[in-house]
Amino acid sequence: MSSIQLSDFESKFRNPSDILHDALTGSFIEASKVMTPNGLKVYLDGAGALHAMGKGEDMVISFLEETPMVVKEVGESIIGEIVFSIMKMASQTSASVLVLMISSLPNVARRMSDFDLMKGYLRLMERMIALAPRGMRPMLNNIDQLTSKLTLGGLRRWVLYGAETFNRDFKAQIAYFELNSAESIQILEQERRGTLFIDNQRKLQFYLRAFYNRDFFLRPTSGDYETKKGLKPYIEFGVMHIPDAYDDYTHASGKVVSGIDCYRAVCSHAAAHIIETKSAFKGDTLNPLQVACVSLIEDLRIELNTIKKFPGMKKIWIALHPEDEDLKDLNPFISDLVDLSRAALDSKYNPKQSFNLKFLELFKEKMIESGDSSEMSFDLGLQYYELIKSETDVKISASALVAAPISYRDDNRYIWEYEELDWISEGNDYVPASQRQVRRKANIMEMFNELDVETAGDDAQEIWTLETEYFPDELDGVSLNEIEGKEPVSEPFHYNEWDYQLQLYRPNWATLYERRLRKGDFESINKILKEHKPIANQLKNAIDQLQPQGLVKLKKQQEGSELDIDSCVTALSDIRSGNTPSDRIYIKKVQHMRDVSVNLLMDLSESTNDMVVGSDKTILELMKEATSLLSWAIDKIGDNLTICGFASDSRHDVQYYRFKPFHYSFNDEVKGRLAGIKGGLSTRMGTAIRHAGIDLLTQSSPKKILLVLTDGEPADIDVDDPQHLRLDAKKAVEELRSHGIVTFCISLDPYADQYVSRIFGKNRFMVIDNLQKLPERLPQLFISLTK
Amino acid sequence: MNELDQYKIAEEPFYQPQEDEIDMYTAAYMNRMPVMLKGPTGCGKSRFVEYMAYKLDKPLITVACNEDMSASDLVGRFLLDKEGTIWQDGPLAMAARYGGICYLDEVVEARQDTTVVIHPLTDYRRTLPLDKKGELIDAHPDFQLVISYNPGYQNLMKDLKQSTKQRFCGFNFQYPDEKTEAHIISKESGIGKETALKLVQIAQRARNLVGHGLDEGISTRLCVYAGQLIANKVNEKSACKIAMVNPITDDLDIVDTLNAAIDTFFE
Repeated sequence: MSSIQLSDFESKFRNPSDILHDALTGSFIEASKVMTPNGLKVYLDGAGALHAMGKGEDMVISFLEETPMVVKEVGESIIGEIVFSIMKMASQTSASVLVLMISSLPNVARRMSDFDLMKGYLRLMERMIALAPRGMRPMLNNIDQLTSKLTLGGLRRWVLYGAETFNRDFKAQIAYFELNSAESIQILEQERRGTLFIDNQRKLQFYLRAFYNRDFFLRPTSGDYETKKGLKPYIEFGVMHIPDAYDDYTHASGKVVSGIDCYRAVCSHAAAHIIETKSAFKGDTLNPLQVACVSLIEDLRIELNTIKKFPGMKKIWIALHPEDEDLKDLNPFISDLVDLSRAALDSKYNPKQSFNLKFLELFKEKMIESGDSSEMSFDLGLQYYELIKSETDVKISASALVAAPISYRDDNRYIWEYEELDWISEGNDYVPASQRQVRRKANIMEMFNELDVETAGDDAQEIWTLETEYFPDELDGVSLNEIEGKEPVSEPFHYNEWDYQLQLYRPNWATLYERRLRKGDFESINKILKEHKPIANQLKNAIDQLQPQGLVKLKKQQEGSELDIDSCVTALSDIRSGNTPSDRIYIKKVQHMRDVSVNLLMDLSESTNDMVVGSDKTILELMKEATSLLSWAIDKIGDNLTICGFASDSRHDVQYYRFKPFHYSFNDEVKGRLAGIKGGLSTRMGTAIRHAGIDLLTQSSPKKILLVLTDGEPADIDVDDPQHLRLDAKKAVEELRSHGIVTFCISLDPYADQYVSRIFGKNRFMVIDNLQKLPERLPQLFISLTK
Repeated sequence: MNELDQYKIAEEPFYQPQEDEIDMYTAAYMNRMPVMLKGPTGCGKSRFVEYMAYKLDKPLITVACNEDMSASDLVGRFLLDKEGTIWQDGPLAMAARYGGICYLDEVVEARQDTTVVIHPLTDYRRTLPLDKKGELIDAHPDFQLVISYNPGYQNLMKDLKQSTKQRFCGFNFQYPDEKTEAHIISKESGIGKETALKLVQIAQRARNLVGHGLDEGISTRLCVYAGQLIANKVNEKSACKIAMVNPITDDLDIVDTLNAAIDTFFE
């Protein structure tokens, strides 16, 4: 799979102990699953360099062990950063603190799940070592608690406060970082951020969709900020960039606007820009004050246009305007702008400046005249600037101008830099999936005359297959294809892949081939069935109950389509003898039907070759046993089952294996295919799910179920961002749901809870902790699911 | 005719025409053409049939279809009597025999083997065979069959067969435009136009989410409910929440969005 061999790097570790050697081999396997060859090289080079520093093996071992987990969360670009940070800190602290720091990384990465934030965390650690080395150890002991409560910016402020306040008083410093002093807790509470973007993204997307009936793209700005005010939101290439956390906004008067309302105000303002701002302004010739005036008028124009459609929208905007008390220390020019802005939105507000009142009337007039065009804002903005210059003494420093008292408005780079930009094509050009090998059918004479290499491998440019079977004499009735040929490959299927960052499909991104693995010995499956006879017996009862019985006639019913003659006679004789007759005199016909199609999709990635702890079998062997039993059970019930598997080797080659097609009984052919199951490569789940869905849609049953059996989360060698394939798989599941296919995941990864429910939805997955029970649990699970 | 008198609509129901559907329906009835009404839930399909039955002065027999319904629930069955058994006409047989409009509401809910009994009634034959009784009913000249269904929420499996579909002329219903809908709401609930318009605005927010988390938007019927609550002096926001948000979704994020929409339109 990868061209990096561990042996090439072993020379970098001089005289490794056995422990280091074991860690190296163990981690290498782990790392090769999550890193590309390039990443692996950086990883091993880094480990070698750390070893060469002579700070002890512990540090190297924890680097080797923890890094793959960090990479899994934030991508492999982080490896270099980690090595760099450790080297920087190594001169300032002891190896044991470094070990502590390194072991904190996976958890922090999980919390931050973004490369830039993670980098920020490493920078912070470096700074902390320089400022308060003694606090490092106690803080790292509490790092889980800290990162769960604070954003990176919050953590940074908390750390710096402690380091600066107690830079002489070591005892207090340690208490602060141990979270043992009142001050420490207090600052922690203060820094705690109210509303996180990540928790509210879905809500905001619904909100915008509900009001504007179209989709907008939202992304959290991944930086974090030194001041609590935070970065301004901005719009670029049609994407709204929004701060990753908002505190409740508290006015000086004590009035509070909740964090989610801040988000709504930001989003609706930005959406108004995207909808209402139709042309760009050339700002080259203007001074910053003029730019500020034009921007303000344009902001007001788009907001007023939106308010025309949704009058209530102004409430959240007005609520975030600074009140008089908030404005105390601000530059008069800014205060005047705020004054105008408030007056324009809030009819109950009386502007402080009389010229604002006058201007407002002009503005309203213009709005009626030409409120739809952005040009109006440009002319009017310049007019306003002249007015304000003539009325007041405008003096403002550049830094004061940047201060943004109206926090929900974006920085307006959108209206100044706006160009007709087809942002979809930005960095997202569609590259047609190239087929690396041509397969074609050749006739026997062509084969005979022109074939260069009889047994072409994966690197051949063309592979020829013979249409007719060729039986060489020396093979005694066995065809050449059977001996040498690889199993045939289907035509390529192209599938879209969901890019969550763009919120768009990448068209025909992944290419899937249906392949066949070579058959194994079907007797081995028979052996498995024999071995598990006791389980089969247990299941028998449940299977019997599920078997459909067709049309069932229920006698003696209160309601039904026909009279039940026997009960009628009894009833009549009751009537004649003066007794109350029973009213149960009908026959009811009930259709006892069971029409289910099931696709059991197995993840056959490399990891399935791992041994199961406490057992002498690999995950794959257990999966094989489980599917054999399940096929046997379903065959008995009579449901329509297909068994497939998938693996992937980058987006150009997603492999899909069909072990048992629909409507095949559980015969020796199928058993042979099942026996041949092998594991390898990666897990591009979304594409496989889509293909399995297409497969199911060819079936006419009203109930269609896709069971995904997997031992890990989606991953592939050409994808750095671990979120990407997760969210693509989630999208694929949603697509299937819209076609009436129920997807259910059986995960063999004991730590799967966090991501499977995100992909498959609540109540749509089960985690099997005790893998050895899999052969027993899988058929049971199926039966209970389809009862 | 007497048997069906109880099914006559006594008072004129309120119906706000959206387009020319009244004329079209009248024309269809003149030819006794079977009619299919399609549209989302609560957009006025049933009210329209009621109104037309009143206009045409014909009895209206409504059957709410469900999965457990068998053919005999439509056609009729034998009941037990002192003397033996007597035949009891089902709603469809009754309408066909005495001349009335038979309205099968949400017809896709019925199983396909049930729906096929309407076939002989809905083509040139206009007959209904009662095979158990050995009788062939020739439909009364006034008889007409109307079915309704909601193409929105049914899944792929629950659809009418082509052979059933192609026996009807179809009317597409949608939620009316803003002003018409507000008019309907204010007329039905007695609230002012302005409040009604706000309710429509909120409903439209939910309709924008259809296919993006909601299966179906807030119907006119729910708006009317909210209006009626408001007319009874219930606080506007609470009325909207219990009548328009809580019934349609369990998704907390969507509930939150719709509540925000309500806050936007009501103080």
